[in-house]
Amino acid sequence: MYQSPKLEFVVNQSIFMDPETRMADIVLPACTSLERNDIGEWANAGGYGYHINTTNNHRVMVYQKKCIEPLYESKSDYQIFSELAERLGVKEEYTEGNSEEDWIKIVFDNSDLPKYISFEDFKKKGYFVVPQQENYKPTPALRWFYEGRECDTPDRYNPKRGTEKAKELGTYSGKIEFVSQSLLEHFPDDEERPPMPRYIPSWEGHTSELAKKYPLQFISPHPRFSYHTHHDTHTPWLGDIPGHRISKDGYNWQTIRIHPLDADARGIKDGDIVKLYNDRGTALGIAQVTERMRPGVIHSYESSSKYDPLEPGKPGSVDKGGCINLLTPSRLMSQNVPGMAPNSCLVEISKWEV
Amino acid sequence: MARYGMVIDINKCNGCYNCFLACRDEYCGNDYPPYSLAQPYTGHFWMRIIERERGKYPKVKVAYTVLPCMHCDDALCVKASHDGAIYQRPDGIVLIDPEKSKGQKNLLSACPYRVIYWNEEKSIPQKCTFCAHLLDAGWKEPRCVEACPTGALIFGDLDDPNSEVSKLVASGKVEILHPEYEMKEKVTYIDLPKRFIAGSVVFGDKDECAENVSVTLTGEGEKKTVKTNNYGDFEFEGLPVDKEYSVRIEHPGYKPQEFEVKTKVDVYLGDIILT
Repeated sequence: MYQSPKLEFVVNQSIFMDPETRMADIVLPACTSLERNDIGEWANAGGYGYHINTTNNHRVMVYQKKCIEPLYESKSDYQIFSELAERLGVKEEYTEGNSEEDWIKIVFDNSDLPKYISFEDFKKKGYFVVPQQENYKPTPALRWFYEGRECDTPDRYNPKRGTEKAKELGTYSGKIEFVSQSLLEHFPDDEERPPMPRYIPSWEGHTSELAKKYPLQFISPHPRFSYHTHHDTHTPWLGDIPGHRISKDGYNWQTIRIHPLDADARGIKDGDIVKLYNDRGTALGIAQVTERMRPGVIHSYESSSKYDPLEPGKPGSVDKGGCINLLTPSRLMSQNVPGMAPNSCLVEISKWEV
Repeated sequence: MARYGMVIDINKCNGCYNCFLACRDEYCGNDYPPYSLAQPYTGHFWMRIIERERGKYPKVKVAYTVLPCMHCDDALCVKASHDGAIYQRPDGIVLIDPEKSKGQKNLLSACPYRVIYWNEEKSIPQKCTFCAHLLDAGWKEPRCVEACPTGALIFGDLDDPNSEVSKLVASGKVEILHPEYEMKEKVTYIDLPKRFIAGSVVFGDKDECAENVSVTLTGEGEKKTVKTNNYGDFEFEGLPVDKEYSVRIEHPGYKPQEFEVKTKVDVYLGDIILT
């Protein structure tokens, strides 16, 4: 992407000197959330979910009081944007005359918090545990449908919720569909996503022509020990968790899992540095030879945050950091399905002589 | 005075490494004199996890053996140390004095469990302290135990007959990892990985998983019979190492099959086709 002539200019705003920061024309150092005040809900999933308390037993609202002043030249995101707006002559329009602390108060005032606690007390205490409603009733998914009641889950994407058809499912027929009526109406001829689901050999899988050149199926699920790229590069401890990265000769290599049969056929031993490649890219990693893999399949977690090209600036450079996402296809499941298909991916692997 | 100990339930450990990370979070960059000095950012495993793969694809299990300091009552490291560099407190916790132990690299090999690590920068040996600084401040358990989401780590007072650790120790289910060291370890284990014998039975004529087939294991003066599940799978778990067994598979209308097996490693007999 950074090689594209259409890209005139890149700005990176980050709390770390990340591998991606190196691609930027201008770097704006942001401070961490420990160096600025904010208000938020602990462990909320952002815009993804409602009524979520994924890691707490209760919803907890937090006044995120800063621990220290921003270090060095770093500034809070809001301060960076405000100062940019000022130089562009639109500071009033951007800030509406509010400081960072004013916005925290505005968010507080727009929530239900003032019914329970004053802003001063909230700031002093630092958090507020949302009390359970007295008439609270759990609403397990789809129990309303099973019991023939109106939809009572906080599912805002059900178009029939709150209408006279609220007892039906959100499908066209209102029932559980074996043949999707909406797909039948809008995309009846989509060979890659037929209205009735069935097995379709992958456009890049063990039966496709490409398997002669790249015989190994590659799967790259979400990482177990980091949150996508978060923590990967900047937490050296993860290099001591063999399922995540393995340290060798002072470098934390991406773990690549391979079955003993596939490893033997290629002269690869446990702990060898290996090259994983296909026509889209090449990444290096460390082999973990394991019976946990099915023969013919290679496994490595997606979202390495350690892009470390051997030839910086050269398109298609071998990546030492283990960004296996370089190898996965960018095409969608079908032209009508905006979902990625990174596990439809064939690769070959060989020993890498450092 | 309490006498602290830990029980580690291997079957409950799923290898999340929260204990390992909590340990580093507590000790990396933090000095707690006179208990301990900061743990280096990498290379030390005061809470070590050993991953052992058992069996062969597709019948594979991973056993995570968690290895902190055993806080032995007859610790060889205490005996090997000079000037009281390693000592045992009245509550049973074995500590390395960061001042007195300076330069005593020989202590690393004094421990047969190899849970003492060398801090190159400070020239001192270091290890798990059971978070003694926290216990002395009123905590009930070390950081690793607090961080364990599955309850695989159980910590408490071995002298209190009502504590969970005491009850587990009294239940007779616990084992010492290496009893041959004879060091009176206060960290003990439940369900340390042994050996399994497993297989998958198929009805050859129908090309179907053979459910409800009798499988009999004979050996070591014992005889056990199990039935295959709906995938045709059977398993005998927790068998002793390096023993000889015979496995007999029989079902009405099919020819019985018998296998002689040695539990040198975990054994997966693969697909067994009944004809």
